[in-house]
Amino acid sequence: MKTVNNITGLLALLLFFLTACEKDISSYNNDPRVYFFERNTDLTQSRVTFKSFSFLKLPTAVTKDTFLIRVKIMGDAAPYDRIVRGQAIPDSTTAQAGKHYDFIDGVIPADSITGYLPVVLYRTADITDSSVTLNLAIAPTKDFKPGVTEDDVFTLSWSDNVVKPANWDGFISLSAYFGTYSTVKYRFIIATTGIEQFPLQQSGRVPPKDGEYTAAAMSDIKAMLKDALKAYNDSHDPDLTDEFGQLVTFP
Amino acid sequence: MKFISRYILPSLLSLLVLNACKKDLGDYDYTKVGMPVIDTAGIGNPYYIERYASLQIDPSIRYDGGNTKALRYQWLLYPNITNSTSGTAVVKTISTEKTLNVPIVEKVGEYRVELIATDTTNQLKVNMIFTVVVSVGIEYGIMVLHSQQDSSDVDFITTANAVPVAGITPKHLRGIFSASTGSKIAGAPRFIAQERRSQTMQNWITIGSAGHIARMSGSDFSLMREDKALFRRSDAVINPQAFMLLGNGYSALINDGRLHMYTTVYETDALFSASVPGDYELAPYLAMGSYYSVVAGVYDQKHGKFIHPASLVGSMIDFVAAPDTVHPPFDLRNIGKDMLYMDRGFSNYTHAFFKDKTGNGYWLYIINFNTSDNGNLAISANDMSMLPEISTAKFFQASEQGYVDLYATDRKIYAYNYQGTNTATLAFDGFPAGETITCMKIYKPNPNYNLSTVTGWILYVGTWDGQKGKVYELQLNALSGQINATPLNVFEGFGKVADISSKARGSGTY
Repeated sequence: MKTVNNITGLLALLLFFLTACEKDISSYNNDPRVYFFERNTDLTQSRVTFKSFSFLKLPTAVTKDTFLIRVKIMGDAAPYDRIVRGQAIPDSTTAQAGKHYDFIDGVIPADSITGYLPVVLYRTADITDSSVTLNLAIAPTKDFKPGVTEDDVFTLSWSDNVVKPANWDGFISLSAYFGTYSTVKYRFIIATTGIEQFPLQQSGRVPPKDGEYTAAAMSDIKAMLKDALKAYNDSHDPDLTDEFGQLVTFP
Repeated sequence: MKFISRYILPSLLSLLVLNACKKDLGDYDYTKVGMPVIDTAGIGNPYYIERYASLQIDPSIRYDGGNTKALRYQWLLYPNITNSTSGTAVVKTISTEKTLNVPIVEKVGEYRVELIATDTTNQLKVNMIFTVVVSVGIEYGIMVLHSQQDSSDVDFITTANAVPVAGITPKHLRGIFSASTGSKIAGAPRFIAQERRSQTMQNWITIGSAGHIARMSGSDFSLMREDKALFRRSDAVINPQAFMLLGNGYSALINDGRLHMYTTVYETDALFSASVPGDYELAPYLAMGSYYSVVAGVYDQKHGKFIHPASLVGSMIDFVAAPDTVHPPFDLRNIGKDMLYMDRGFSNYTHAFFKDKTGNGYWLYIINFNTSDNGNLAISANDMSMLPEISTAKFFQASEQGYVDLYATDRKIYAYNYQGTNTATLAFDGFPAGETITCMKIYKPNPNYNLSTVTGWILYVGTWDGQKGKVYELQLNALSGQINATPLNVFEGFGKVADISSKARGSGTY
């Protein structure tokens, strides 16, 4: 009987100890946060923390554009739209608020976990020959705090600058279709075609590679530019003139 | 108590454990289940089939101990992927009938066709896999563009008369456009034309309808691009009226009354630039025999004159005036008539058929566009006004083999001797009652490699009886224009035939 009592007591003690293994699970408190969520399309969806923008492809009449940076929330989705907004990090930011850019409210739509943080970029005269940079972070709002530190800074750079294409002059070159280079002419080409670079097919005996422009394609672009230049000159006085005081023409 | 704990409890525990080792003999009735057998005797060899032709497999099914009526059939088709990195095979169910009889529209390649028979009573399945090799089947023949209601399709026909080439068998492939793309060509059909340059990869077929244009591969009739993807400018109006690969190697499209051109053997660069600049509105006909510097001889219906581009990237210009010492039969710069048709005739001259804007005058103007413009391109002006039934002529063709042209009314075909007597004789009047002509084309494969002996000696005529269309293959005397009364072949099962074009392989690989 003594043995039975000993075994029984031992088992009871063991059960008591086992209760100590039960994990104490605390209740979840939602703490909405948001972080930058720009990702590449590679297999690992690697992080993107920098983007650039050029006004070159836009018509000259366009003086501002809104750049959207993708963001993602931490915490539960909400059944209502929530506000997200950026703020500048003064260190290493060269753009001036109100002159080069403005923050406006973005929205995480109801029941969504991603949205966009908008930054309004201005096409100012001083970025025609330089670029400006904005380092930005998530600004606290009534709806969100900044999220994970790995994604709490984003860099944006923009300009309205042109650089003479390397293939403008030479044996097989853009000069055959566009004539003499000037920045005014090149800006007109970009504004009309929406194209910045014109890599040329190097030989008609070799099939054009992806992205290459054949002689026929360039001839059609030249014809388009001539029509566009005529339309511009018909509606402007004086005619389009380059930085050297020469009238813009195409061969 | 001590006895119980020491002996009884361990014994009971042992019994419980040993019970798990007891074999479960069960109390079941076992029934032998039959297995359906797909008998491949005589049908198991690989199938070599031309694209768009019907694949027919009629397997014999034995089912001892079962009921064949309870079987459900499923035929699957998927590509034979030999490279493990080639991706996932797309599996299509092509039939649910026991006997397979479906057109194979897959691209050229090797495929597997799998038959799965399922007993619907117990879900028992058996399968059998067949090898199917799809090959090119449209190298030589004619393409027939025909319509029903508001859409159209293409049939492909090869006959021994038109294709006297060893190894090429007669065939009639139906509806190959819809089989290739999944839908018919929208809009009223206008033309179908081949664009083939030997020894190059240029082997394409262009199809035009009201509001649509499509380029198909000449090797397997797969869709290459369509509508605005054929134009360099995003604002292009899609209103194709005529297309031709000209003799000088330039590809020309008349679209919405305007001329668009390109020259290339690379498909990605075969895009139409903006129309040739100028004030003109073209009749929808092109001159095959255009010299390099002429670029493309076309007729400006708006101003009643022939014009041509100054260059491939130049504006539209007039032909030069004839020298004072020359008195040409007509002035290309001042025609002033309505064009009815234009075709390549004898000596590579262009035959242009006209009607006077007022009155009942009909004319055949012959022009030599196949030389540089020296002001002396007009060859002859032939008055057709007195020819029989010319006022009701709707279709015109020019023979490239002799001094004879053809014209057709609703039901009759006349041979016109323009060089000698300037008279026309009835060449064919044998269509059944109720049928009217909707299309007439002399067989002129271009290039005619392997086909030179028959080029120009066959006439294809499409007819319509109000319900269905037919295509007649007629033996034509290319020198006299006479036509044998008995057709070589008659093909049925069409809608209203809008256009017929030869399809030639040319030489070289592609």
